[in-house]
Amino acid sequence: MKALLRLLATAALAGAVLSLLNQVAAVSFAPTAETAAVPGSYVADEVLVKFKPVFAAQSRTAIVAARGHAVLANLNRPGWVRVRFGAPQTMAQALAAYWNDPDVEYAQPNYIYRATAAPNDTQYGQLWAFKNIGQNIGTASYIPASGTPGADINVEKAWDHITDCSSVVVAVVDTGVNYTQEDLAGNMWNGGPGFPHHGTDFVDSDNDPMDPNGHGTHVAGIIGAAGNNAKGITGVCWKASIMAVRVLNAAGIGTSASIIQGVDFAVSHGAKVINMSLIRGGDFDQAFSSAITNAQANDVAVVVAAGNEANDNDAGGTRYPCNFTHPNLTCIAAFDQNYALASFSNWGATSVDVGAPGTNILSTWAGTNASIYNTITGTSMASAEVAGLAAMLRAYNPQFTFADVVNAVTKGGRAAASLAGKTVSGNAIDVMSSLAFINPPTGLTAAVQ
Amino acid sequence: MLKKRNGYVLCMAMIDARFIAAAVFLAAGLAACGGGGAESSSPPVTTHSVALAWEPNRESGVNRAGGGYQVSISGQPTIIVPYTAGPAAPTTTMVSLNTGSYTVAVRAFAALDPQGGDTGSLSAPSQPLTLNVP
Repeated sequence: MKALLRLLATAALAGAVLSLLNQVAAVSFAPTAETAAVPGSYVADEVLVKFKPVFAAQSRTAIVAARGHAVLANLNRPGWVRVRFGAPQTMAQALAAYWNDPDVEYAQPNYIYRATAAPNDTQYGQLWAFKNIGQNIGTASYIPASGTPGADINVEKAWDHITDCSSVVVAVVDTGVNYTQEDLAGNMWNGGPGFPHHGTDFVDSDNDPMDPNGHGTHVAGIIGAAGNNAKGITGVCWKASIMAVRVLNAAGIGTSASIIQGVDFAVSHGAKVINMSLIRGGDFDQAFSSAITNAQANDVAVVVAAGNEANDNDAGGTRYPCNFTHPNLTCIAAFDQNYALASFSNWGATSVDVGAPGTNILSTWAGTNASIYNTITGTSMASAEVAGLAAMLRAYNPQFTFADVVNAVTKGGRAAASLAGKTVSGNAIDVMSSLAFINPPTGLTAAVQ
Repeated sequence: MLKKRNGYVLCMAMIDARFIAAAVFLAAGLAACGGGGAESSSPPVTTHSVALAWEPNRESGVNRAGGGYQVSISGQPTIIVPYTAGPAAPTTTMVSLNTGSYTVAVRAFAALDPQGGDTGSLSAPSQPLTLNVP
Protein backbone atom coordinates (compact mmCIF):
# COMPACT_ATOMS: atom_id res chain seq x y z
CA MET A 1 0.00 0.00 0.00
CA LYS A 2 2.84 2.33 0.87
CA ALA A 3 4.42 1.48 -2.40
CA LEU A 4 1.25 2.36 -4.26
CA LEU A 5 0.97 5.69 -2.42
CA ARG A 6 4.56 6.55 -3.26
CA LEU A 7 3.90 5.76 -6.88
CA LEU A 8 0.83 7.97 -6.94
CA ALA A 9 2.75 10.77 -5.29
CA THR A 10 5.55 10.44 -7.79
CA ALA A 11 3.10 10.40 -10.67
CA ALA A 12 1.45 13.55 -9.39
CA LEU A 13 4.81 15.28 -9.04
CA ALA A 14 5.88 14.22 -12.49
CA GLY A 15 2.57 15.43 -13.89
CA ALA A 16 3.10 18.79 -12.29
CA VAL A 17 6.56 19.03 -13.79
CA LEU A 18 5.28 18.07 -17.23
CA SER A 19 2.54 20.65 -16.92
CA LEU A 20 5.13 23.26 -16.06
CA LEU A 21 7.27 22.18 -18.98
CA ASN A 22 4.30 22.51 -21.25
CA GLN A 23 3.78 26.07 -20.12
CA VAL A 24 7.43 26.83 -20.73
CA ALA A 25 7.17 25.23 -24.16
CA ALA A 26 4.14 27.34 -24.99
CA VAL A 27 6.10 30.46 -24.21
CA SER A 28 9.11 29.24 -26.18
CA PHE A 29 7.06 28.62 -29.28
CA ALA A 30 5.12 31.87 -29.21
CA PRO A 31 5.25 33.61 -32.61
CA THR A 32 7.85 36.31 -32.80
CA ALA A 33 8.90 38.81 -35.40
CA GLU A 34 11.87 36.57 -36.10
CA THR A 35 9.63 33.71 -37.18
CA ALA A 36 7.37 35.80 -39.39
CA ALA A 37 7.42 34.79 -43.03
CA VAL A 38 6.84 36.84 -46.15
CA PRO A 39 3.73 35.74 -48.08
CA GLY A 40 4.72 34.32 -51.43
CA SER A 41 7.89 32.84 -50.01
CA TYR A 42 6.05 29.77 -48.78
CA VAL A 43 3.29 27.37 -49.82
CA ALA A 44 0.13 29.22 -48.81
CA ASP A 45 -1.78 26.41 -47.13
CA GLU A 46 0.97 24.18 -45.78
CA VAL A 47 3.17 24.04 -42.70
CA LEU A 48 5.97 21.74 -41.61
CA VAL A 49 5.54 20.44 -38.08
CA LYS A 50 7.99 18.59 -35.89
CA PHE A 51 6.35 16.48 -33.22
CA LYS A 52 8.09 15.36 -30.08
CA PRO A 53 9.85 12.02 -30.48
CA VAL A 54 7.32 10.11 -28.36
CA PHE A 55 4.66 10.40 -31.06
CA ALA A 56 4.56 7.70 -33.71
CA ALA A 57 3.26 8.37 -37.22
CA GLN A 58 -0.31 7.31 -36.40
CA SER A 59 -0.42 9.59 -33.36
CA ARG A 60 0.89 12.54 -35.39
CA THR A 61 -1.75 11.95 -38.03
CA ALA A 62 -4.48 11.80 -35.38
CA ILE A 63 -3.33 15.02 -33.72
CA VAL A 64 -3.27 16.82 -37.06
CA ALA A 65 -6.67 15.44 -38.06
CA ALA A 66 -8.17 16.64 -34.80
CA ARG A 67 -7.40 20.17 -35.94
CA GLY A 68 -9.14 19.58 -39.25
CA HIS A 69 -5.79 19.46 -41.04
CA ALA A 70 -4.23 16.67 -43.11
CA VAL A 71 -0.80 15.09 -43.11
CA LEU A 72 0.47 15.23 -46.68
CA ALA A 73 3.73 13.42 -46.00
CA ASN A 74 6.05 12.21 -43.30
CA LEU A 75 9.37 13.86 -44.08
CA ASN A 76 12.55 11.88 -44.02
CA ARG A 77 13.45 13.51 -40.71
CA PRO A 78 12.49 12.23 -37.26
CA GLY A 79 9.15 13.68 -36.18
CA TRP A 80 8.65 16.03 -39.15
CA VAL A 81 5.42 16.03 -41.14
CA ARG A 82 4.09 18.19 -43.96
CA VAL A 83 0.60 19.41 -43.13
CA ARG A 84 -2.11 21.05 -45.22
CA PHE A 85 -4.35 23.33 -43.13
CA GLY A 86 -6.40 25.13 -45.80
CA ALA A 87 -8.97 27.91 -45.60
CA PRO A 88 -10.31 29.62 -43.58
CA GLN A 89 -7.19 29.52 -41.40
CA THR A 90 -4.32 31.83 -42.17
CA MET A 91 -0.68 30.86 -42.00
CA ALA A 92 -0.26 32.84 -38.79
CA GLN A 93 -3.20 31.07 -37.18
CA ALA A 94 -2.01 27.64 -38.22
CA LEU A 95 1.50 28.30 -36.97
CA ALA A 96 0.24 29.71 -33.69
CA ALA A 97 -1.90 26.63 -33.15
CA TYR A 98 1.08 24.33 -33.52
CA TRP A 99 3.48 26.58 -31.66
CA ASN A 100 1.17 26.41 -28.66
CA ASP A 101 0.66 22.67 -28.90
CA PRO A 102 2.68 20.90 -26.19
CA ASP A 103 3.03 17.88 -28.45
CA VAL A 104 4.96 19.93 -30.99
CA GLU A 105 8.62 20.90 -30.92
CA TYR A 106 8.60 23.20 -33.93
CA ALA A 107 6.42 24.50 -36.73
CA GLN A 108 7.31 26.59 -39.74
CA PRO A 109 6.03 27.53 -43.19
CA ASN A 110 6.88 25.26 -46.09
CA TYR A 111 9.26 27.74 -47.69
CA ILE A 112 9.68 27.96 -51.44
CA TYR A 113 13.19 27.74 -52.81
CA ARG A 114 14.16 28.67 -56.32
CA ALA A 115 17.00 27.75 -58.61
CA THR A 116 20.25 29.11 -57.34
CA ALA A 117 21.38 32.29 -59.00
CA ALA A 118 24.60 31.70 -60.88
CA PRO A 119 27.50 34.01 -60.17
CA ASN A 120 27.77 37.02 -62.46
CA ASP A 121 31.22 36.24 -63.80
CA THR A 122 31.18 37.16 -67.46
CA GLN A 123 32.37 33.80 -68.81
CA TYR A 124 30.49 31.63 -66.31
CA GLY A 125 28.39 30.16 -69.12
CA GLN A 126 31.50 28.39 -70.44
CA LEU A 127 32.17 26.59 -67.16
CA TRP A 128 30.39 23.37 -68.01
CA ALA A 129 32.09 21.60 -65.10
CA PHE A 130 30.11 23.77 -62.71
CA LYS A 131 26.88 23.98 -64.70
CA ASN A 132 26.54 21.63 -67.63
CA ILE A 133 23.55 22.65 -69.73
CA GLY A 134 24.88 20.99 -72.86
CA GLN A 135 26.54 24.22 -73.94
CA ASN A 136 29.15 24.25 -76.68
CA ILE A 137 32.58 25.36 -75.48
CA GLY A 138 33.76 27.82 -78.10
CA THR A 139 37.46 27.48 -77.33
CA ALA A 140 37.41 23.68 -77.03
CA SER A 141 40.37 21.57 -78.05
CA TYR A 142 38.84 18.25 -77.00
CA ILE A 143 35.94 16.59 -78.78
CA PRO A 144 33.14 16.43 -77.77
CA ALA A 145 32.87 20.15 -77.14
CA SER A 146 29.34 19.86 -75.78
CA GLY A 147 27.74 17.29 -73.56
CA THR A 148 24.99 16.12 -71.28
CA PRO A 149 23.05 18.56 -69.11
CA GLY A 150 23.61 17.79 -65.46
CA ALA A 151 26.94 16.01 -66.01
CA ASP A 152 28.78 18.44 -63.75
CA ILE A 153 30.06 18.66 -60.19
CA ASN A 154 26.78 20.00 -58.73
CA VAL A 155 28.42 22.99 -57.12
CA GLU A 156 25.70 25.62 -57.51
CA LYS A 157 23.60 24.14 -54.70
CA ALA A 158 26.63 24.08 -52.44
CA TRP A 159 27.15 27.79 -53.09
CA ASP A 160 23.89 28.41 -51.24
CA HIS A 161 25.75 27.27 -48.13
CA ILE A 162 29.36 28.28 -48.61
CA THR A 163 31.43 30.21 -51.13
CA ASP A 164 34.24 31.45 -48.89
CA CYS A 165 37.05 28.96 -48.36
CA SER A 166 39.64 31.56 -47.39
CA SER A 167 40.03 30.09 -43.91
CA VAL A 168 41.81 27.14 -45.53
CA VAL A 169 45.17 27.66 -47.24
CA VAL A 170 45.46 25.71 -50.48
CA ALA A 171 48.96 25.23 -51.87
CA VAL A 172 49.30 24.98 -55.64
CA VAL A 173 52.58 23.10 -56.06
CA ASP A 174 53.10 23.66 -59.75
CA THR A 175 54.62 26.10 -62.30
CA GLY A 176 53.82 29.08 -60.09
CA VAL A 177 50.75 31.30 -60.12
CA ASN A 178 50.05 34.54 -61.96
CA TYR A 179 49.15 36.34 -58.77
CA THR A 180 48.34 39.58 -60.63
CA GLN A 181 45.60 38.00 -62.74
CA GLU A 182 42.34 39.85 -62.11
CA ASP A 183 40.46 36.81 -60.76
CA LEU A 184 43.33 35.66 -58.54
CA ALA A 185 44.91 38.79 -57.12
CA GLY A 186 42.42 39.06 -54.27
CA ASN A 187 42.41 35.37 -53.44
CA MET A 188 46.11 34.76 -52.88
CA TRP A 189 47.67 33.61 -49.62
CA ASN A 190 48.87 36.32 -47.28
CA GLY A 191 52.15 35.00 -45.98
CA GLY A 192 53.25 38.22 -44.34
CA PRO A 193 56.25 40.41 -45.19
CA GLY A 194 58.53 37.44 -45.84
CA PHE A 195 56.37 36.31 -48.76
CA PRO A 196 55.23 39.44 -50.61
CA HIS A 197 54.37 37.40 -53.71
CA HIS A 198 52.07 34.95 -51.94
CA GLY A 199 54.38 31.98 -51.99
CA THR A 200 57.86 30.87 -52.94
CA ASP A 201 59.92 29.54 -55.84
CA PHE A 202 62.09 26.44 -55.60
CA VAL A 203 63.07 26.62 -59.27
CA ASP A 204 64.82 29.98 -59.13
CA SER A 205 65.32 29.83 -55.36
CA ASP A 206 63.63 33.12 -54.57
CA ASN A 207 60.34 34.25 -53.13
CA ASP A 208 58.65 35.15 -56.42
CA PRO A 209 56.52 32.28 -57.74
CA MET A 210 55.24 34.14 -60.81
CA ASP A 211 54.09 31.62 -63.39
CA PRO A 212 55.79 31.80 -66.81
CA ASN A 213 53.95 28.73 -68.06
CA GLY A 214 50.24 29.08 -67.29
CA HIS A 215 49.55 25.59 -65.95
CA GLY A 216 49.75 26.50 -62.26
CA THR A 217 47.69 29.62 -62.83
CA HIS A 218 45.02 27.57 -64.56
CA VAL A 219 44.91 25.15 -61.65
CA ALA A 220 44.73 28.01 -59.15
CA GLY A 221 41.77 29.58 -60.98
CA ILE A 222 39.80 26.35 -60.90
CA ILE A 223 40.32 26.13 -57.16
CA GLY A 224 39.70 29.72 -56.24
CA ALA A 225 39.20 32.34 -58.93
CA ALA A 226 37.15 35.16 -57.41
CA GLY A 227 33.46 34.47 -57.86
CA ASN A 228 30.58 36.81 -58.52
CA ASN A 229 32.88 39.75 -59.24
CA ALA A 230 31.55 40.39 -62.76
CA LYS A 231 34.88 39.33 -64.26
CA GLY A 232 36.00 36.25 -66.13
CA ILE A 233 35.34 33.05 -64.28
CA THR A 234 34.81 31.67 -60.80
CA GLY A 235 36.58 28.89 -58.95
CA VAL A 236 34.99 26.15 -56.89
CA CYS A 237 35.59 28.60 -54.05
CA TRP A 238 34.60 32.23 -54.66
CA LYS A 239 36.99 33.37 -51.98
CA ALA A 240 40.19 31.48 -51.33
CA SER A 241 43.67 31.61 -49.90
CA ILE A 242 45.97 30.26 -52.62
CA MET A 243 49.62 29.68 -51.78
CA ALA A 244 51.80 29.69 -54.89
CA VAL A 245 54.63 27.15 -54.66
CA ARG A 246 56.72 27.00 -57.81
CA VAL A 247 58.46 23.66 -58.30
CA LEU A 248 58.14 23.19 -62.09
CA ASN A 249 60.03 25.34 -64.58
CA ALA A 250 58.73 27.29 -67.55
CA ALA A 251 58.53 24.05 -69.54
CA GLY A 252 56.52 22.41 -66.76
CA ILE A 253 59.35 20.17 -65.57
CA GLY A 254 60.63 19.68 -62.03
CA THR A 255 62.62 17.32 -59.85
CA SER A 256 62.04 15.26 -56.74
CA ALA A 257 64.17 17.75 -54.83
CA SER A 258 62.19 20.84 -55.81
CA ILE A 259 58.82 19.14 -55.35
CA ILE A 260 59.74 17.84 -51.89
CA GLN A 261 60.86 21.31 -50.91
CA GLY A 262 57.58 22.64 -52.16
CA VAL A 263 55.49 20.16 -50.23
CA ASP A 264 57.48 20.75 -47.06
CA PHE A 265 57.10 24.52 -47.46
CA ALA A 266 53.36 24.22 -47.90
CA VAL A 267 53.02 22.01 -44.84
CA SER A 268 55.20 24.15 -42.61
CA HIS A 269 53.45 27.36 -43.66
CA GLY A 270 49.93 26.26 -42.85
CA ALA A 271 48.48 24.77 -46.01
CA LYS A 272 45.75 22.24 -45.25
CA VAL A 273 45.17 21.23 -48.87
CA ILE A 274 47.91 20.66 -51.45
CA ASN A 275 47.20 20.26 -55.15
CA MET A 276 49.83 18.58 -57.31
CA SER A 277 48.81 18.29 -60.91
CA LEU A 278 52.03 16.58 -61.92
CA ILE A 279 53.10 13.04 -62.75
CA ARG A 280 56.06 10.78 -63.39
CA GLY A 281 56.14 7.15 -64.49
CA GLY A 282 58.65 4.68 -63.15
CA ASP A 283 60.26 3.67 -59.89
CA PHE A 284 58.97 4.42 -56.43
CA ASP A 285 60.20 7.80 -55.18
CA GLN A 286 61.04 7.33 -51.51
CA ALA A 287 61.91 10.96 -50.85
CA PHE A 288 58.67 12.20 -52.37
CA SER A 289 56.75 9.56 -50.42
CA SER A 290 58.33 10.81 -47.20
CA ALA A 291 57.14 14.33 -47.95
CA ILE A 292 53.57 13.05 -48.34
CA THR A 293 53.96 11.19 -45.06
CA ASN A 294 55.01 14.43 -43.42
CA ALA A 295 51.93 16.11 -44.85
CA GLN A 296 49.81 13.30 -43.42
CA ALA A 297 51.38 13.76 -40.00
CA ASN A 298 50.39 17.41 -40.20
CA ASP A 299 46.80 16.63 -41.22
CA VAL A 300 47.20 17.94 -44.76
CA ALA A 301 45.02 16.56 -47.57
CA VAL A 302 46.92 16.03 -50.82
CA VAL A 303 45.12 15.92 -54.17
CA VAL A 304 46.95 14.70 -57.29
CA ALA A 305 46.26 14.04 -60.96
CA ALA A 306 46.08 10.52 -62.42
CA GLY A 307 47.99 11.50 -65.56
CA ASN A 308 47.20 11.98 -69.24
CA GLU A 309 48.55 8.88 -71.02
CA ALA A 310 45.43 6.69 -71.14
CA ASN A 311 47.32 4.36 -68.84
CA ASP A 312 46.10 1.84 -66.32
CA ASN A 313 48.10 2.98 -63.31
CA ASP A 314 47.53 -0.38 -61.64
CA ALA A 315 48.65 -2.73 -64.39
CA GLY A 316 50.20 -0.53 -67.05
CA GLY A 317 52.98 1.00 -65.03
CA THR A 318 52.94 3.04 -61.86
CA ARG A 319 52.59 6.81 -61.89
CA TYR A 320 53.70 8.95 -58.97
CA PRO A 321 52.43 10.63 -56.90
CA CYS A 322 49.14 9.00 -57.94
CA ASN A 323 50.26 5.52 -56.97
CA PHE A 324 51.37 6.47 -53.48
CA THR A 325 49.09 4.76 -50.99
CA HIS A 326 49.00 7.39 -48.26
CA PRO A 327 45.54 7.79 -46.74
CA ASN A 328 45.73 11.59 -47.10
CA LEU A 329 46.31 11.37 -50.86
CA THR A 330 43.47 11.35 -53.38
CA CYS A 331 44.17 10.68 -57.07
CA ILE A 332 41.81 12.01 -59.72
CA ALA A 333 40.83 10.85 -63.22
CA ALA A 334 39.22 13.12 -65.80
CA PHE A 335 35.84 12.75 -67.48
CA ASP A 336 34.40 14.69 -70.36
CA GLN A 337 31.24 16.69 -70.91
CA ASN A 338 29.20 13.47 -71.13
CA TYR A 339 30.54 11.93 -67.90
CA ALA A 340 32.64 9.53 -70.01
CA LEU A 341 36.22 8.84 -68.97
CA ALA A 342 38.31 11.22 -71.07
CA SER A 343 40.24 9.47 -73.81
CA PHE A 344 43.59 10.60 -72.41
CA SER A 345 42.85 10.03 -68.72
CA ASN A 346 44.80 7.47 -66.74
CA TRP A 347 42.77 5.22 -64.49
CA GLY A 348 43.30 2.53 -61.85
CA ALA A 349 40.80 0.45 -59.94
CA THR A 350 43.02 0.52 -56.86
CA SER A 351 45.12 3.65 -57.38
CA VAL A 352 42.75 6.29 -58.79
CA ASP A 353 40.05 7.38 -56.37
CA VAL A 354 37.41 9.46 -58.15
CA GLY A 355 36.73 11.32 -61.38
CA ALA A 356 36.11 15.00 -62.09
CA PRO A 357 35.66 17.15 -65.21
CA GLY A 358 38.90 17.51 -67.16
CA THR A 359 38.15 18.51 -70.74
CA ASN A 360 37.77 21.98 -72.21
CA ILE A 361 38.17 23.74 -68.89
CA LEU A 362 38.32 27.52 -68.96
CA SER A 363 40.42 29.18 -66.26
CA THR A 364 42.93 31.89 -65.48
CA TRP A 365 46.26 32.00 -67.34
CA ALA A 366 49.77 33.43 -67.30
CA GLY A 367 50.76 36.71 -68.95
CA THR A 368 51.01 40.40 -68.39
CA ASN A 369 47.40 40.98 -69.38
CA ALA A 370 45.47 40.77 -66.13
CA SER A 371 42.38 39.60 -67.98
CA ILE A 372 43.95 36.56 -69.60
CA TYR A 373 42.15 33.20 -69.61
CA ASN A 374 42.65 29.93 -71.45
CA THR A 375 40.84 26.67 -72.13
CA ILE A 376 42.87 23.51 -71.65
CA THR A 377 42.33 19.82 -70.98
CA GLY A 378 43.83 17.25 -68.60
CA THR A 379 43.63 15.40 -65.31
CA SER A 380 45.40 18.44 -63.84
CA MET A 381 42.13 20.31 -64.14
CA ALA A 382 40.17 17.47 -62.57
CA SER A 383 42.60 17.41 -59.65
CA ALA A 384 42.16 21.14 -59.12
CA GLU A 385 38.39 20.79 -58.88
CA VAL A 386 38.82 18.24 -56.11
CA ALA A 387 41.35 20.46 -54.33
CA GLY A 388 38.75 23.23 -54.40
CA LEU A 389 36.19 20.83 -52.98
CA ALA A 390 38.61 19.78 -50.25
CA ALA A 391 39.13 23.41 -49.28
CA MET A 392 35.39 24.00 -49.21
CA LEU A 393 34.84 20.94 -46.99
CA ARG A 394 37.48 22.08 -44.52
CA ALA A 395 36.13 25.63 -44.49
CA TYR A 396 32.58 24.42 -43.88
CA ASN A 397 33.66 21.87 -41.28
CA PRO A 398 36.57 23.42 -39.38
CA GLN A 399 37.06 20.29 -37.27
CA PHE A 400 37.54 18.03 -40.28
CA THR A 401 40.66 15.91 -40.49
CA PHE A 402 42.22 14.84 -43.78
CA ALA A 403 40.42 11.52 -43.37
CA ASP A 404 37.07 13.28 -43.12
CA VAL A 405 37.89 15.20 -46.29
CA VAL A 406 38.85 12.06 -48.20
CA ASN A 407 35.71 10.26 -47.02
CA ALA A 408 33.43 13.12 -48.00
CA VAL A 409 35.06 13.50 -51.42
CA THR A 410 35.03 9.84 -52.33
CA LYS A 411 31.89 8.57 -50.59
CA GLY A 412 29.90 11.72 -51.21
CA GLY A 413 30.36 11.42 -54.95
CA ARG A 414 27.90 10.34 -57.62
CA ALA A 415 28.17 6.91 -59.23
CA ALA A 416 29.36 7.19 -62.82
CA ALA A 417 29.19 4.18 -65.09
CA SER A 418 32.31 5.20 -66.97
CA LEU A 419 34.33 5.21 -63.75
CA ALA A 420 33.12 1.83 -62.44
CA GLY A 421 36.08 -0.54 -62.36
CA LYS A 422 38.34 2.31 -63.41
CA THR A 423 38.54 4.01 -60.02
CA VAL A 424 38.38 2.92 -56.39
CA SER A 425 35.01 4.54 -55.74
CA GLY A 426 33.44 4.47 -59.19
CA ASN A 427 32.26 7.96 -58.39
CA ALA A 428 32.40 11.37 -59.97
CA ILE A 429 32.70 14.17 -57.47
CA ASP A 430 29.50 15.90 -56.37
CA VAL A 431 30.16 18.99 -54.32
CA MET A 432 26.72 19.27 -52.75
CA SER A 433 26.60 15.60 -51.80
CA SER A 434 30.06 15.80 -50.29
CA LEU A 435 29.07 18.87 -48.30
CA ALA A 436 26.07 16.99 -46.89
CA PHE A 437 27.96 13.73 -46.29
CA ILE A 438 28.05 12.59 -42.66
CA ASN A 439 30.46 10.02 -41.33
CA PRO A 440 28.94 7.31 -39.12
CA PRO A 441 29.55 7.94 -35.41
CA THR A 442 32.33 5.98 -33.74
CA GLY A 443 33.33 4.86 -30.26
CA LEU A 444 29.91 3.76 -29.04
CA THR A 445 30.00 2.45 -25.46
CA ALA A 446 27.39 1.37 -22.94
CA ALA A 447 27.55 1.21 -19.16
CA VAL A 448 24.84 -0.62 -17.21
CA GLN A 449 24.24 1.12 -13.88
CA MET B 1 9.00 -9.31 -1.83
CA LEU B 2 12.59 -8.23 -1.58
CA LYS B 3 12.87 -8.27 -5.35
CA LYS B 4 9.73 -6.20 -5.57
CA ARG B 5 11.18 -3.64 -3.18
CA ASN B 6 14.45 -3.49 -5.10
CA GLY B 7 12.57 -3.01 -8.30
CA TYR B 8 10.57 -0.18 -6.84
CA VAL B 9 13.70 1.62 -5.76
CA LEU B 10 15.17 1.21 -9.23
CA CYS B 11 12.09 2.67 -10.83
CA MET B 12 12.14 5.65 -8.53
CA ALA B 13 15.77 6.25 -9.36
CA MET B 14 14.89 6.13 -13.02
CA ILE B 15 12.11 8.66 -12.61
CA ASP B 16 14.30 10.97 -10.56
CA ALA B 17 17.16 10.81 -13.01
CA ARG B 18 14.99 11.46 -16.02
CA PHE B 19 12.71 13.90 -14.37
CA ILE B 20 11.81 15.71 -17.54
CA ALA B 21 11.15 12.60 -19.59
CA ALA B 22 7.82 12.31 -21.36
CA ALA B 23 4.75 10.91 -19.62
CA VAL B 24 4.99 7.71 -21.57
CA PHE B 25 8.27 7.06 -19.89
CA LEU B 26 6.60 7.35 -16.51
CA ALA B 27 3.91 4.94 -17.58
CA ALA B 28 6.58 2.44 -18.58
CA GLY B 29 8.19 2.87 -15.18
CA LEU B 30 4.92 2.20 -13.41
CA ALA B 31 4.36 -0.93 -15.43
CA ALA B 32 7.84 -2.16 -14.64
CA CYS B 33 7.10 -1.74 -10.97
CA GLY B 34 4.05 -3.94 -11.27
CA GLY B 35 1.73 -1.11 -10.41
CA GLY B 36 -1.81 -2.38 -9.81
CA GLY B 37 -0.94 -6.06 -10.11
CA ALA B 38 -1.02 -8.77 -7.44
CA GLU B 39 2.35 -8.68 -5.72
CA SER B 40 2.69 -12.41 -5.29
CA SER B 41 2.45 -13.12 -9.07
CA SER B 42 4.52 -10.21 -10.40
CA PRO B 43 7.70 -11.10 -12.27
CA PRO B 44 10.98 -9.84 -10.86
CA VAL B 45 11.70 -6.26 -11.78
CA THR B 46 15.00 -6.04 -13.58
CA THR B 47 15.10 -2.60 -15.09
CA HIS B 48 18.50 -0.91 -15.29
CA SER B 49 19.66 2.49 -16.31
CA VAL B 50 22.17 2.31 -19.13
CA ALA B 51 24.51 5.13 -20.07
CA LEU B 52 25.30 5.30 -23.78
CA ALA B 53 28.14 7.42 -25.10
CA TRP B 54 29.94 7.90 -28.40
CA GLU B 55 32.57 10.09 -30.00
CA PRO B 56 31.40 13.44 -31.37
CA ASN B 57 31.05 13.84 -35.12
CA ARG B 58 33.09 16.62 -36.70
CA GLU B 59 30.55 17.72 -39.33
CA SER B 60 29.34 21.23 -38.56
CA GLY B 61 25.79 20.33 -39.52
CA VAL B 62 25.60 17.69 -36.81
CA ASN B 63 26.64 20.23 -34.20
CA ARG B 64 24.20 23.00 -34.98
CA ALA B 65 20.44 23.51 -35.07
CA GLY B 66 18.76 20.71 -36.98
CA GLY B 67 21.59 18.29 -36.22
CA GLY B 68 22.20 15.61 -33.64
CA TYR B 69 22.13 11.87 -33.20
CA GLN B 70 19.63 9.08 -33.47
CA VAL B 71 20.08 6.08 -31.19
CA SER B 72 18.57 2.77 -32.23
CA ILE B 73 18.13 -0.02 -29.71
CA SER B 74 16.61 -3.27 -30.87
CA GLY B 75 13.00 -3.57 -29.71
CA GLN B 76 12.91 -0.02 -28.37
CA PRO B 77 11.69 3.30 -29.75
CA THR B 78 14.35 5.34 -31.51
CA ILE B 79 15.88 7.99 -29.27
CA ILE B 80 16.65 11.40 -30.73
CA VAL B 81 19.52 13.30 -29.17
CA PRO B 82 19.28 16.70 -30.82
CA TYR B 83 21.68 19.60 -30.82
CA THR B 84 20.36 22.16 -28.37
CA ALA B 85 23.05 24.73 -27.64
CA GLY B 86 26.77 25.25 -27.34
CA PRO B 87 29.58 24.05 -29.54
CA ALA B 88 28.38 20.48 -30.11
CA ALA B 89 25.43 18.13 -29.97
CA PRO B 90 25.30 15.87 -26.89
CA THR B 91 27.06 12.53 -27.23
CA THR B 92 25.51 10.74 -24.28
CA THR B 93 22.06 9.54 -23.33
CA MET B 94 20.53 7.47 -20.57
CA VAL B 95 18.05 4.70 -21.26
CA SER B 96 16.12 2.34 -19.03
CA LEU B 97 16.21 -1.27 -20.19
CA ASN B 98 14.95 -4.56 -18.85
CA THR B 99 17.02 -7.70 -18.68
CA GLY B 100 17.96 -8.93 -22.10
CA SER B 101 20.30 -8.61 -25.02
CA TYR B 102 20.11 -5.55 -27.25
CA THR B 103 21.82 -4.28 -30.34
CA VAL B 104 22.62 -0.59 -30.19
CA ALA B 105 23.75 1.72 -32.99
CA VAL B 106 23.99 5.47 -33.45
CA ARG B 107 23.53 7.59 -36.56
CA ALA B 108 24.29 11.27 -36.93
CA PHE B 109 21.98 13.65 -38.75
CA ALA B 110 22.08 17.20 -40.05
CA ALA B 111 19.68 19.60 -41.70
CA LEU B 112 21.63 19.86 -44.96
CA ASP B 113 20.77 17.27 -47.58
CA PRO B 114 22.56 16.11 -50.73
CA GLN B 115 19.98 17.84 -52.93
CA GLY B 116 20.84 21.17 -51.39
CA GLY B 117 17.60 21.55 -49.45
CA ASP B 118 17.04 21.32 -45.74
CA THR B 119 15.19 18.05 -45.49
CA GLY B 120 18.28 16.61 -43.90
CA SER B 121 20.73 13.78 -44.21
CA LEU B 122 21.46 10.80 -42.03
CA SER B 123 24.76 8.99 -41.65
CA ALA B 124 25.26 5.28 -41.93
CA PRO B 125 24.96 3.55 -38.54
CA SER B 126 27.91 3.23 -36.23
CA GLN B 127 29.43 -0.16 -35.62
CA PRO B 128 26.66 -1.99 -33.73
CA LEU B 129 27.17 -2.71 -30.05
CA THR B 130 25.75 -5.79 -28.36
CA LEU B 131 24.49 -4.88 -24.92
CA ASN B 132 23.58 -7.45 -22.27
CA VAL B 133 21.48 -6.10 -19.41
CA PRO B 134 21.58 -8.44 -16.36
